[in-house]
Amino acid sequence: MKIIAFGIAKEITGDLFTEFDAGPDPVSVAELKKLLFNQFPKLEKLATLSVAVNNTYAGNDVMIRGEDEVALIPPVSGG
Amino acid sequence: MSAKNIFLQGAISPAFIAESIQKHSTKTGIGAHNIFLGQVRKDVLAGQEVAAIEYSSYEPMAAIQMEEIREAIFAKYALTCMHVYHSLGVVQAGEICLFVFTSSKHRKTAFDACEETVERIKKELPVWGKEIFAGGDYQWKENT
Repeated sequence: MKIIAFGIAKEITGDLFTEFDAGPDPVSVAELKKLLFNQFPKLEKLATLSVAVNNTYAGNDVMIRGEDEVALIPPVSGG
Repeated sequence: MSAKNIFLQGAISPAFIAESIQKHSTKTGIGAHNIFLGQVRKDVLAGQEVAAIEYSSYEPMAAIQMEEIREAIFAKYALTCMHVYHSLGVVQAGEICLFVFTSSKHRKTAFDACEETVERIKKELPVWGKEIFAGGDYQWKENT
């Protein structure tokens, strides 16, 4: 699946990180976060890490399919 | 859905804000404007002064989120109009990075709608500020 990371999450995952192989089956947001935390332990240390699926904040139960655009949203700081 | 772009490159100039006010002179049903301006603060963190904040965003999502906020605010408050602008890129300490402008017949509606919009922007909008210190170091800001 295609993953875009922002802010400090982008720094942790690196600029080249855009594709993530979460296996052949759809995974939930909670499962994806677990896989990502394994690969990038620093992500788990953030105060919050929200996941957006197709431009919308997604709860832990949302299922992600291969064609979805997934974004990693660390604590926001606009304004 | 094509949501309105709220982002401007760099600081928001006082002249831009003045022009925005001027544009409302033909809307004579308005009796109250409320304006919130966010300014980059020269915080001192661990002995280092913040010189500027560099803003980045997940723009397509921010546009959709802002549209949702706008719709909720218009559903709740009898506003005549609302305008929101946020900076991207580097904004120096002392410069304006957020401009929220609500207009209505009466003041309370304009006050309340503006406050709620600003709070939601700070909490929900996918925008990140990197605080750049005078010495060149940086840290990622987190809204509280």
